[in-house]
Amino acid sequence: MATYEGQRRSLYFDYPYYPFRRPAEMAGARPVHPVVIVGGGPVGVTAALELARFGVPAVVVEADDTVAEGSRAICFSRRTLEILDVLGVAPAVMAKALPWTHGTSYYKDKQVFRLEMPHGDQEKFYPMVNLQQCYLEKFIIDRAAEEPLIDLRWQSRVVGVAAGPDRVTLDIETPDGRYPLTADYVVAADGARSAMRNLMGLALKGQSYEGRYLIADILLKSHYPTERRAWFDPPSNPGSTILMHKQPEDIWRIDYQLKDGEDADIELQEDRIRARIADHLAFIGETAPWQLDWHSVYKAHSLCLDSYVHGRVMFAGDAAHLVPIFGVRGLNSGIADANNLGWKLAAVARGEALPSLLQSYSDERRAATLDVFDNAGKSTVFMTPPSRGYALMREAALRLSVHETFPRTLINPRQSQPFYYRDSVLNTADDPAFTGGPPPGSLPPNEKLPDGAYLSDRIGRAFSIIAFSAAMRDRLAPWLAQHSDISTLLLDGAGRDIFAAADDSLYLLRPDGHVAARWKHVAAAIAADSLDAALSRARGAL
Amino acid sequence: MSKTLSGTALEQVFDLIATSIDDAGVENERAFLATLALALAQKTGSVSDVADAVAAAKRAIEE
Repeated sequence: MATYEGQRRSLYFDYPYYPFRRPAEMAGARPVHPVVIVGGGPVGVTAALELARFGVPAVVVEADDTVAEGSRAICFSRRTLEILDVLGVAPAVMAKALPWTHGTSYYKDKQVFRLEMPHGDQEKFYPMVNLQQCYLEKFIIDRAAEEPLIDLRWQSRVVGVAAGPDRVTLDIETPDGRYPLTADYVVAADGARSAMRNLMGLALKGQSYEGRYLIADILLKSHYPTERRAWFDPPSNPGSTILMHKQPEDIWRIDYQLKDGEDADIELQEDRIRARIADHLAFIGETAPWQLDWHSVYKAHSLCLDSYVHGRVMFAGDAAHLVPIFGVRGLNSGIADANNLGWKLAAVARGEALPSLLQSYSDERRAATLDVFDNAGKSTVFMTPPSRGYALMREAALRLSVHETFPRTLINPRQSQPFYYRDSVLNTADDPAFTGGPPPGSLPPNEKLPDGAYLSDRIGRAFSIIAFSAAMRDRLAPWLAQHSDISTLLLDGAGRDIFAAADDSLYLLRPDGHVAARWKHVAAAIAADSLDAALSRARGAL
Repeated sequence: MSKTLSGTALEQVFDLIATSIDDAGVENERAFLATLALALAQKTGSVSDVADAVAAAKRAIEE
């Protein structure tokens, strides 16, 4: 196998080399692929794995010949792990990643906030794990390479788009020349500087924040546990904000705010970066020798497309939205995009759902993005105060938090949570008889089942039904016999409390695990009609 | 104090005062904050509540 000979080097990671191979199109073939995905990053390849689990093949074209450089996105949420678990990627991630549940925030040298994320021994995954993005990408690509339905094409750059009413043809540039690549549907997951977005004349809209952060990886042996640490106005860099995260292979990520008036040309010099990091390590008592591995500059944005669906082209991940780094919603929301789009695009590509189902991808995920803007916007204003008024108020909140409890809520980093598709057209109106449990549009907690498996192990292959008594399940047998693709789960133990369910309750879950419909007391005679109507609605027939 | 703010309400107050400080401008910032403190004191209707808040603020700027 050829080895990677490009520019990317690291103290801990061997960049893989992905060679170009001539596709059938370059020998004159002109197949029409069901789906082409532009972008071989984590979102694009996750989308390909999602399609593959529903039996839909995909061609993935990626301009690069290896994975992205540096740690980049490093915090992955429980929901992301659940999604990757269904796709068979979670074991590799969990074998490498560092789980965590806590965080500490400091004002100058005093602790002002302790972040505690709920976690019990009944959870399948930790609320958050740290892993360099290069590892995550490699694990996802390794899994996709085993999947016969996925055709990964490296060193293949999109340089033209002809999007018609019936299909889309891309002009692909390779080391051996160009070729046309035609598909019924295209997923544009080609990142923040999306070529697809530019070629289609689409622009991200929203706001950009002024504050800039220098982000750096260092190799340092330290016994400090894995948790999120944040320092506001630390003695090691007065006026700045510093974040620090432990990653696998003794790599530590340090993000620090560049202050107003600091000369970027000076601050980006490696000697300057080393001096800044050395000052901070001395302040926190780290005395071991260390090396700088990688650095970059980050600026917060809240930008997105007006719609994530443009004809037969669907945008996902950073190609569709750029969100602030604070609260770890960038790649986590991109993975959620792939998870939301996968089952819908598969159903449409297989002719099992109307194309209108794809509009719900845009509506649901755009609502999620706007929620991220709201939450991450508040975090960003606290992390990088945009004006004198905000800087003064932040100082007041931090000073008071040393001894008072009430202002600490303002310091909370508001970590990523699964989005509740409250207003989705795919939801069947909730049954008012419920006084608790997960309503339509929401994601149920990943309950541990009596046999030791988890809810996420049993759902997510297709639509599924949860029955809460054997009698109810048995009464549905004739309907289930006509819907062989729908799986049934019986929750008749303590697990049903979380669903606020009775013996004759039913839940209908979508392939991404979100609730589509639920009934508190469903008479057997009408259950089939209710399920048919809810299923039809959740498949986009409105 | 008899009443406290929810987390969401505290965020709204944070934004409102931050933008109002900006609106006041640097030259009027001190006058604005002192005026605000006096107006809020009147709203509490309690000398001891104000004294508690003053003590908390003093402690916060001592270190």
